[in-house]
Order: sequence, then C-alpha cells, then structure tokens
Amino acid sequence: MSFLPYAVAIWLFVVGLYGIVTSRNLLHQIISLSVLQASTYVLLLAIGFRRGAAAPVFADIPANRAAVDPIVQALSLTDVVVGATVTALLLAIAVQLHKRTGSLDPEALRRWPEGRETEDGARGLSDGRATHGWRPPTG
Amino acid sequence: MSNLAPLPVAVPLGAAAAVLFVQFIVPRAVVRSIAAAAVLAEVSFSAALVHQAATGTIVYWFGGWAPRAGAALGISFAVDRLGAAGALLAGVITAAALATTRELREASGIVYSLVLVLLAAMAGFCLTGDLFNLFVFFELIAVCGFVLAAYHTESLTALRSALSFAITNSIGAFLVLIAIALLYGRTGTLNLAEIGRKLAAHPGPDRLVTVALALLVVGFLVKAAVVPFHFWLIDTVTGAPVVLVVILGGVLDSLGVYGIVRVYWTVFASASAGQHAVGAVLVALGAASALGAGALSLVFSHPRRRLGFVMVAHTGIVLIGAGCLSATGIAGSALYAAGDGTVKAALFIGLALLGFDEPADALRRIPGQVRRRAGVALLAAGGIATAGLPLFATGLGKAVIEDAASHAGYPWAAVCIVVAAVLTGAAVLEIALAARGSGNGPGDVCDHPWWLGAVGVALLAISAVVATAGRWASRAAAVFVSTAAYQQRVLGGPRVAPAVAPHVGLSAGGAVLDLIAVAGAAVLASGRARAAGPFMPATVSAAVRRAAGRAHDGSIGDSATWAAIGTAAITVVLAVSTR
Amino acid sequence: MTVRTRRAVFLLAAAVLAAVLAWAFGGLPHFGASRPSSGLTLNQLAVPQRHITDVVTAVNFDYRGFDTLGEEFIFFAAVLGTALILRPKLAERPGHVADYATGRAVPPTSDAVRVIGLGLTPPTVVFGLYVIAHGHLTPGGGFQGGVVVATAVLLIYLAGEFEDLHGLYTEVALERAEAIGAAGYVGVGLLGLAAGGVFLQNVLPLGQTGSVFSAGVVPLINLSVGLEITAGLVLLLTNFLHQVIVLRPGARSAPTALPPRV
Repeated sequence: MSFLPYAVAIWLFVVGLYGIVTSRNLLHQIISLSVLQASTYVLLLAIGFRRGAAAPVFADIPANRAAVDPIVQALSLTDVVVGATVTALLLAIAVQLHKRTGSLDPEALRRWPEGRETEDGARGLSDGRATHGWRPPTG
Repeated sequence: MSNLAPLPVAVPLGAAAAVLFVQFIVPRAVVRSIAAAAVLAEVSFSAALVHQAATGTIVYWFGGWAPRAGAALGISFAVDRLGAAGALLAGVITAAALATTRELREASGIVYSLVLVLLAAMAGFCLTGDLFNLFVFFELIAVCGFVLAAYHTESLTALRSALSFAITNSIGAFLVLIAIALLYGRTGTLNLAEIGRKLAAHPGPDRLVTVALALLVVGFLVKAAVVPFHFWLIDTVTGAPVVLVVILGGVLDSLGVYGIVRVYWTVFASASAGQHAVGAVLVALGAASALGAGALSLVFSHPRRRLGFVMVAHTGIVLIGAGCLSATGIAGSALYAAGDGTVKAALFIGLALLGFDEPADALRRIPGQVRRRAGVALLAAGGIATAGLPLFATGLGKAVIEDAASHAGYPWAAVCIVVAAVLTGAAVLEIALAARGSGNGPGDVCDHPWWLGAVGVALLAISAVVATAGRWASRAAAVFVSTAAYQQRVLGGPRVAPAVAPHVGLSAGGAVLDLIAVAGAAVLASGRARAAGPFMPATVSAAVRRAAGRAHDGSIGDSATWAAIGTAAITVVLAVSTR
Repeated sequence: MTVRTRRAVFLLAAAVLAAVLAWAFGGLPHFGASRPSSGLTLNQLAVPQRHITDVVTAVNFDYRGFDTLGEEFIFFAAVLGTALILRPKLAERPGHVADYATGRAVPPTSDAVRVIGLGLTPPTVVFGLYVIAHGHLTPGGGFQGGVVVATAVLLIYLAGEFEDLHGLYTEVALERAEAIGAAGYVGVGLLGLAAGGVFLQNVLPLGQTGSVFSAGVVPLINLSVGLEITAGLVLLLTNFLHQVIVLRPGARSAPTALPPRV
C-alpha cells in the first residue's frame, strides 16, 4: 500500500489531462487543469512524508522532535498560489469569450470564421496582388 | 560575491510596482520613461555581469545562506557568461519591444508593469542555479505571456490563443514540477549543482532519473514551442500585440532550449542517464521542427502566422545545436539564438510598420509612405538574414551548428538546416515582395513613431555584431559544459580545470552552405511571386492547405492531445534506450 | 482531429504515460521512509538559527525567500492580468446593478443572511490579521492571512449588494496597495543589500523565539505579502463582479451567432 499516494498522483494527472482533451465546456476544461495540478500537490507532499513525524511547527512541541519535510510544503504553497492565479486568468478569458460568442464550447471556438486568419489562405501572397489582409482606405 | 547579480531581477520588479503605483498620478510619458529606465538599467547590469563572469562563474547566495559542508540551504544564482548573455539579450529585446507600445491605448500602465515583470522573470530564468527557482521564473514568464496575449479582448483569436497558451504551458509546467519532485525525492535538494553531484555519486541507468530528465525536457520543449508542442505559438503570434510578439520571437522560445541545456549540463551530464538518447531525441525533434515548420511557413498567407512558423523552424535549428551535446553545439546555438532573435524582433517590427499590429479583424490603420518603405526594407533585409547570410550571426550560428552536428554523428542534420533556411528565408522574402507593391495610403495614420524603423535596423546591426563573437561564444560554451567546474564553483571542493574551448568559426564550407541557402531562398521567393498561382500544383496545394489549416485551428483539446503524445513518446524512447 | 479520434489517440498516449510514470515512481523511496534531505536539516536548524517556530514559513520567507518573491509577482501579474482582460470595452456601459440569474427571479437577501454575514465580517478580518502576524510562529503567513481578510470583503457582498462595496474602496486604491505590498518585498530585499549584506538577508534583530517580534525581517515580509494578497484578491473579486453585474453590452458588442457546425 505504500505505492498508493503515487498511484493517486498519476491517476489525477491522467484524469485531468483527459478532461482537458475531451471537454465540451470551457469551465470544465479549466477545472480539469486544476485537477491535473492537484496531482503535483499529492506527489510533493507524499515525497515529504515521514512516518511518525509531526508537522514542522515547533511552537508547542520540543524542537528536537522529528517532523516532516518542510521544503515540499513550501513548494506546494507556491504551487497552490500559481495554480489559483492561472485559474483566475483562465476564467476571466472564459468570461470574455462567453460575452463575445455566447458559447463556452471549445469545439465551436475552433471553427469560428474570423477574417482571413483561420483559413489557410485561398489567395496566397504569391498571386501578386498584395492587398491581402489590408482593407482599402475608405474616403 | 558580486552584488550585481540580483539587480537584473530586482530592479525591473521594483519598477513594475512603481509604475502601477504612479500610473494615474503622472502622465503616460513619465510612466514610459520609468519603464525605459528600468529596462536600460537591466541591460547595463547584465552587460556588467557578462564582463564579470569572464573571470569565473559568479555565485550569489540569497539571504546569505552559503552552503554548509557541501549542502545547499538557500537559493543561489550561478551566473556564467552564457547566462548573463541571456539576461542581456532579454533586456535588449524588451527595450526594442517597449518602442512598439505607443499604439496601445488602453490600460497601458498595466502593460508596462507586466512587461517589466516579464523582463525580470526572463533575467532570473537565465541567471538562477536552483531548480525550483527555475520553475518559478518559468511560470512567471508564462503568466505575463498569456496575459499580454489576451490584450485584444475584442479579438476571438487573441482570447483563444491566450487560452491555448495558458493550458498548454501549464501542462508543461506541471510536468517540470513532477520532475522536480522526483529529483527532490531522490537527492533531497533543489540546488542544480548539488543534485548533479549526488546523482553522479551513483552513476548508471536509473529509471527515476531517466524519466525525470524526459519530463524536464518535455516541459521546456513546450515553452520552446517545437513540434509537436508548437500549436499555442502560432495562434498567439497571430493575435497578440506587437510588444509580446517581439519578445516572443526575440528571446522567449530560446529560453526553452536554454532551460533544457542548463538542466542537462548541471544535473544529468555526469550521471550518464541516457546521454546519447537525449541528444538524438533533441536533434530529431529539432530537425522535424525545422523542416515541418519551414514547409508550413510557405503554406499560410497571413504574415504574422508565417513568421510564427519561421520561429518554430528556427527554434528547431537551435535545438539541433543543443542536441549535439558538445561545446561546439552550445556555442552555435547561442550564436544562432542571439542572432536570430534580434532578426525576428526586427521582422515583427517591420510587420508592425506595415500595419500588421492588430488581429486582422480589427485592422484600421494605413501606414504612410516612409513607414511602409522602412517596413519593406526591414522585411527584405530580415529575410536574407533569416536565410543565413554570413554577415549576420544567423549565418555564423548555422555554420557552427552544422559543424557540431556532423561531428556528433548527425550529418543529415546539416542538410535539414540548410533546407529549413531556404524555406524560411523564402517565406519572409515573399512577404517583403508582396508588401512592396501595396497601394499608397493617404497620409500618415500610423501610431508607431517614425523612429521605430531605426529600432529595427539597430536590431539587425546587433545581429551583425554578434557575428563577430565567435571566440567569445566558444569560451562561454566551454565553461557552460564543464559540469564538474560548475559544481566546484557553487559548492566548493577540489579545483577543476575548465574544458578546452573548441574552435568556433565560419569555415569555408559553412560559408558556402550559407550562401547557397540565401540564394535558394531568393530564387524560391521570386519564383513563387512571379507565378500566377502557388508553386505546387493546384490540387495538392489546396489539400495541403486545408489539412494544415485544420490542424492549426487553435483547438485546445488537439494541442493537449499532441502534448500528451509527445510526452509519452519522448519518455518511452528515453526509458527504453537507457536499459 | 474529431473528438472521437482525439479521445482514442489520447487514451493510448495516456496509458503509455501512466505506465512510464508508475515505473519511474517505483524508483522513489518508500512512502514515509526516513531518509535525510535538506528539508529535515532545516527542521533542526531553523529554531536556533532564526528563532522561528514555523519552519514552513522560515523556508518560504527566509531560506528560500527569493522563490516567494517570484511567487508574489506571479500573483501580482495575474491580478493585473484579470484587470486587463476584464476591463470595460469601448461599447460597454455601466448598467443597472442587479444580481441576476437566467430564467428565474432572484430572491432578495434574507435578514438572517445579512445579520450573520455582517456579524462574521469583523471576526474574519481580525482572524486574518492574526494569521498574517503570527505566520512565523504557527501555520499561516502573508498568503494565507491575506486570503482570509479578502474573504471578509466577499462576505459583505454576499450579505448585501455589490453597491455596498463601493464606499469601501476604489480600484485605484487597491492597485496602489498591491503595488506597495509588492514593492515592500523588493524593498526588504534591497534593505539586506543596503545593510552591507546580501539581497534578502535577514538583517533585523532576531528577538526571542516564540514572541511576535522575532525572526528578523520575516514578520515584515509577511505584512507586506499580506497587504498585497488582500488588495489583489479584492481587486480580482471586484473585477469579476463588476464584469458580470455592472457592465451591460452596448449596441455594437452583442454576441454574434455561431455558424452551423459542419
């Protein structure tokens, strides 16, 4: 059973990635990214664990008591902050996308026709007419 | 200990906070001056560090936590010549990028603040000697990157590209974090030199170390945006404001390769964990990127998108040099990255002068004659530099990488490099040719200052100056690959003699190949321009275009799938080949 | 790729990846096995060296303080980023401020919610400040405490209306507070340089273990970070709420219909 924490970490990673790949809703995709990130917390904290040791806070226990590794806890703290901020940014982008298109479906996003960008170029630059991409001056 | 070492990071960070504080109190010109002053300060500190690092790698322990008995307690900066040069390049490119910010009308204070934080993060990434510190700066770069990518909130491309950028980069970052966790679990430390020493104490094939190396490589490759992790870059380059695009093209994707080589040479080189396999993987991916992206750059017609593929192709070339796992390769990659980065930045400035500084659905400005001519000239000169004229550092870097590749046993890589140079050079020259004949706009309606063209020319000139730095690059590379000397410098111990600097220069063969590439690019570009239609037969070309367009339509799920495939493939290849 | 192809390809890649990761994790030391690491060394060194009892905070703000500076600026950049992304567009106008839910009427806030929400706010603020100030003694610190204080502001919104927040602060003041917090951390680092030492060196007197004024600059950094996190999070919340509750689309930016899927 001592492999269980590591197995959980792997499972979370793969499941989060699965969510991102097959999602039909942006919010679901963003939360899947958080799930993927949770796997790193589990892995880090599992690596820092020592059996029979206390938390690394010596306010009320003697200073020579065995404690778990504090560095991985500090790393996890940084990881949490990073993850939360990235999630906030992604949600902000999702809000703007929803306002613009009324939809949160990433699959619908990809086929959005937008000027000449998503098409691969029916008229290449090599046809000599160089106004491609520019609107003619009006007035 | 030199007290200069933290300043390239601390000064831009402090300035970023200051800019945010004063942005509504003082006029915009003052804010811009603060930002410019901070960037110039960073450039001078980095230049001073480059000079100081010539006498030996500068080691700086933060908080005063020097190592006890060879065990590191705190975070260190380990500044060698290449690292300081990386910070310097970041500063120079950011200075050029700041010149393009005049067209941003909304929330400009926040943009300046973010650009300064981005610069600090890039400098810290190059200077650090601690693995988790590397990750923190990696994430800081990414966060600033995708915020700036989403600046044009009116544009669907910009928003979608920011999403793709964020999710793909985060997946890469978490892979790096898993690798860091594995290495910490094995060695109990996060300092690069110390991990290297502890791994070297138990050499031999080790599954944990092999997979950790694979995950680190994949994570940094995602940032470097090579095939198959390049999808986010294409969309981002199309939709982001010029400021970010100049920085991306100039320095950001080289940083991904820098991360790989830095981690490899300090941690894994002496542990002999699948050395040859890693090199082969890097060279193979580099060649695939160079050829594939080079070919695709001729397929798409939107100029920004083209340049995105040119960027991917050239990062592939840098990756080939890194994969040679030799000092010559590192020297070549460094020269090429610096020379090509400045040329890329000049190209994007040229595009901005021609009016391509917003996503196509919001194009409003018609530049005047002077700027148009400047833009076309920049693109033409940049196109030749892209193909590798020996005058610029791209030519020298290419030749050195080809040299390193043949010595390392990959002679076919040299052919790939030349073909890629022809394809990408032609792609850029085509833009110049097409733009040359565009209609005359009435009057000057461009927001970019008239001296922006001069900034572009200055960047090209820098590339030419870097071309004279061959000897410097070879000495810097020799220091870079001396793992034992690095560890001794950081942690103490018996003195180790540094490696011998290889001979790095433009050989006759290299120069000939360069000139062939330039000529080939010119012929290809003019041939396609003169033909009434595309170069390839109509049916093939249409099918290719459709497939390429569909593959690069910005879907996040696709991008994540390719990332998963790439990760699995690279990890398995490395695991299998180190039995 | 179609979603079906993608799923099939991905499942194959994921299976391979999971297998390789499991194989690699087998090389890790056993879960809970005792073995040396620099973290455990710090457990023994932190109290005598730094007079600090919360070793995680010591790692965060003293031994590896430079990492936390980077992390603080990640937060800084992200909050600025949401302000940038959620900024009002040219066509948007502030409209009638009202909570809304699609398809049903929003019930007015009940008195019970109001009383409990407002009653909880001052204790939350005090608790948050306590967590910030005692970060070097017990679990806590600038990040955690800052989040708690920001939650108090959220409580006010939940108990009342968004307009109730208008009198408390302006966005510009929040941005300036955040800037001060961020600059404070850099300033403490430069203080180390100015005092003749190294960047981020702990140059203040260490005081007595267990008292609030111990561990040198760590409480200062905690305060600075706490200020930044509080201001940043409140700014984040305000931006999101403003976006959804206040801004109304103008004539030009109505959502355009998606094309039929091919």
